[in-house]
Amino acid sequence: MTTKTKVLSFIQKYTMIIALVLVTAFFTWRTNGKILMPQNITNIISQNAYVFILATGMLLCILTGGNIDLSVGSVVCFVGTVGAVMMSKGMNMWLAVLLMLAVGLLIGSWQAFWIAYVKVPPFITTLAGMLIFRGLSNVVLQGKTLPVKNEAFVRIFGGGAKCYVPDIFAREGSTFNILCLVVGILTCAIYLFFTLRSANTRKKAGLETDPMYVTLIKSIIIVAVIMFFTIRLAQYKGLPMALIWVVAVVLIYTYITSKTTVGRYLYAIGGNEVATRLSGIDTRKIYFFAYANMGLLAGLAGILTIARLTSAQPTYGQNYEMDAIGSCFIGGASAYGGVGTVPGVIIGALLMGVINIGMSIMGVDANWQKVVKGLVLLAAVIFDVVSKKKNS
Amino acid sequence: MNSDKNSSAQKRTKAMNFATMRAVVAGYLVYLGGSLIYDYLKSRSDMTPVQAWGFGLLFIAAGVGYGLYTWKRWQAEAASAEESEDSEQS
Amino acid sequence: MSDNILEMRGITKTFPGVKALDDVNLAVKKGSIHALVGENGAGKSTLMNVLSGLYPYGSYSGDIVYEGEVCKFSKIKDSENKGIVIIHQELALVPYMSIGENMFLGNEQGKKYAIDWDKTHAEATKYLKIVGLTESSTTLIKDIGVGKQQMVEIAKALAKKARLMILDEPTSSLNEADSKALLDLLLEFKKQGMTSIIISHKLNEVSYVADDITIIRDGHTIETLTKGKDDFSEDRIIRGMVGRAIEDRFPKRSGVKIGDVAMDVKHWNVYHPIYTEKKVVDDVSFYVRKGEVVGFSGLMGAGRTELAMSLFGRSYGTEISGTLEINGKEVRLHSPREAIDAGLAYVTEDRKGNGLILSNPISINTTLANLKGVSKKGVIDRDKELAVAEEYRVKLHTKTPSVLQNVGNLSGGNQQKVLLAKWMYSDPDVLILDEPTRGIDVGAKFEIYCIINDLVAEGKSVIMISSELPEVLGMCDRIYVLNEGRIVGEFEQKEASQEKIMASILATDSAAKEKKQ
Repeated sequence: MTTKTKVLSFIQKYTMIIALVLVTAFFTWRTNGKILMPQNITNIISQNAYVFILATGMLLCILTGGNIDLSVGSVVCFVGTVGAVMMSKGMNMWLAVLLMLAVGLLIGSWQAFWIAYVKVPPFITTLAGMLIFRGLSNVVLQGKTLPVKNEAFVRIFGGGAKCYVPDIFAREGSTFNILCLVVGILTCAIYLFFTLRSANTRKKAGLETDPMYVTLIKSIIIVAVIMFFTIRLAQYKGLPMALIWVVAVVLIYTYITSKTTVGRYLYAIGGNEVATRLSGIDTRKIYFFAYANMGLLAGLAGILTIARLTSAQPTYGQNYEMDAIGSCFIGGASAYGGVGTVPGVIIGALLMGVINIGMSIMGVDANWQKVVKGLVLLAAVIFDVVSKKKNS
Repeated sequence: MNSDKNSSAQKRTKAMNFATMRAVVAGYLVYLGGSLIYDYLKSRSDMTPVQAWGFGLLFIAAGVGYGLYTWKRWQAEAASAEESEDSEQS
Repeated sequence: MSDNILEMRGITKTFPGVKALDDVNLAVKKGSIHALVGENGAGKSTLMNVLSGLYPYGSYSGDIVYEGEVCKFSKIKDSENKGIVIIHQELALVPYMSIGENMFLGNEQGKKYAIDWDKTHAEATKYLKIVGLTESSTTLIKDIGVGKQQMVEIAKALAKKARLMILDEPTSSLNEADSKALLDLLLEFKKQGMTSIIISHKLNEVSYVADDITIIRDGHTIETLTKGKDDFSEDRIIRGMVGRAIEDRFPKRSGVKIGDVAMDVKHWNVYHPIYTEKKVVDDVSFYVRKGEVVGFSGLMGAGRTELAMSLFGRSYGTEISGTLEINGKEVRLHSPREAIDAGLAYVTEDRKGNGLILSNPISINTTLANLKGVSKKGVIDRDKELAVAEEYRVKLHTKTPSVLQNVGNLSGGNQQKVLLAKWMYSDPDVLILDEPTRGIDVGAKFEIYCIINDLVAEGKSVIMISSELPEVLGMCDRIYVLNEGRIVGEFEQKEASQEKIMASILATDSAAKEKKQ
């Protein structure tokens, strides 16, 4: 390989990471470094928690061959509405949470049934869902705002001022969050452990491995980034609760998509549905799983949304489906066939998140945010068109 | 033959799915562009007229263009699915 | 040397990591038909792509001398302007456009923004007549058969004022009659001074039509045979292609004991899934014993694939009736999963469309039908998966740098091996192989035959559906002949012959016709 093709393939492989670095650098410059201040880093995570979660769910649908779910925004709103109503009637918080997740899963399964077993195109099914559940939310709330007053609920799901994991190592008089630092160090250690282990197994299996220095540089960068963020978080109020939920979802779904048979089948259907069916796999079940799961995650996103905004409103969740689809699109799931990974999509979502926060710190009005969102999508669109040209 | 029909029908659905996704993105671009101009006209925006109209029209144009591209690519993919069916049939 | 219309001298073309062509020389006489043969991946198509300018001047080394001058094509248009037109294996016609529109696509008549349709169709009609088509030029492409579409491609080439026509596998999707018509057309053109280069796997056609045959192997020109001077027999050509004589195109199967009946099908009926009144498989009964290779012969559309797929967990058709016994026990299969669990495997004829996930690596394809074998409670053991894929790569001699290679990057023969590996790993008792050697080269075919022999030696049963009569005759212990959904003949290997099989098909055909009248 010549140096030129090497550089090109590097850029292609890490396009989105490079874009993320550039965008972050841009906002660091424009906001005089404010975007990297502890509070803002916390905000990037808390305010975009729903995007990470919905984008992960959307990815599973897209993996099956470009199917999307347009109803997620409305489902988020409806689940939030149901939860707010239940808690306003004084229902136990955990029971309410369980019921909200169940409602999400039920809605997901309902749509999944039509898509997987009746073969109604997902676009139609979920467009209907989008209208139905927005309408239902309106009916239940009668167009009004319903506050969520359960403080424990708000705190645990990342809303209000105290939505942080309590620091069990806290000392008197110190504002530095030690728990956060400990978690950061542990994360690095776990990351290094898995990197070494996979390099070892690959070597044992006689497979091609990256040269040692590449692995080393990669590890150093990643450890540095993790440590930077944890120290920033520790300097503020510690680990936001929303981060815990996001990390849990990301870890679980990265595992599902990369290590389990269900994940394998999702990719397989996206790659060649007939071949998958003739290999003895019930493809309908897999479609069902993808859409039912989307409902469940929309339920979780609904919980996080009403916790952060401490209320339910019939307008919540608007354009959430676009944020999720956009993140997947930017994260590289637009190319034909079963491609795209959870980490890729998360980077896409992060990119959107950094832009949103960056713009609001700069104090520009919402229209400029639209401009930047549009420009990023435009870039992804150009990437989509160009990569197709290159392939043919 | 049946198997060929299956695979070409599958190719067609898949082409349509991706076309839908692209169309949604294209539509969103048009929406963004339109809302920039709309907000400006309702004087809810602190953009200069050149900025509002410039970006607004750019996004609308890009959205429409991508929409057309999506349409053409979908047609081409559907056609190629059809073609492979024809050539394998006899 | 002046009678050579084209000379390619010392052409070398490298792709990252591979030398696709190495010092290839080709000389084509004016007004002749020159055949280019070689195994898949030998470099034939690459050579033609160099000639047509798809790989621009500078990306290869060596000279192209066309009509006495050195050519430096940088794009396809350049070579077309000189009269070199390539007709690709995959037809490049738009189904929903008329013949006329297709013929002048990219070469529109009239002004750039005002196409002269009268002129288009007048010209089109003229060229259609030359290739012997009576269709109107306003007929849509999708409404004519593949054979006629191929003719339209040739007419399109003529419309571009072709003087050197390159045909890449022109007959691969045609039936006998259409192929013959096409080859005769080429001979007709030859009389009028047209030069053609034909790439083909069908050696009988090559020796029928060609004046010279150039054999390419592993990116090298091996030799050029000339009609009247050299031996033009198929065996001679094959020897050149594979670099050794294949005394026997079919490996010997010895010491295989044929045992009890492994699969018994009685009174099997299947109706068409859409036209539900049409019977696709009509009262078919047959059996396969352990260690036996049973062939299913017949014309395209005889219902062989439909029969196989309907047996395989009802993947095809409606209102399926009949009994299916596996190892003496009657089974009712409702899905491919149940079929696999009952010990069946169906290796599809359409490996790209229905068999493999081209965008995924070999390892993932190998384990797809039996993911349980490499996973525990739904969690995949990647190490074990790679080990399994590696085991089958070694066992089947799949040529690939690693099992992490995407299947789409492999040659047809190696893809077929991956497909076989996938079904072998599902550990079936009865394998149904549908056209297992379609579109793969001589060497790979031989290896596939060896794999089949190994399978029956292990006591498995193989059902082989094939349109190639020599293959059926060479490989199968017993042969069923299917026509229009019915079994019209059964032969032991000893008594079977091409004539007998064809006769049994024709007999039922004419009987059916008489009935209609």
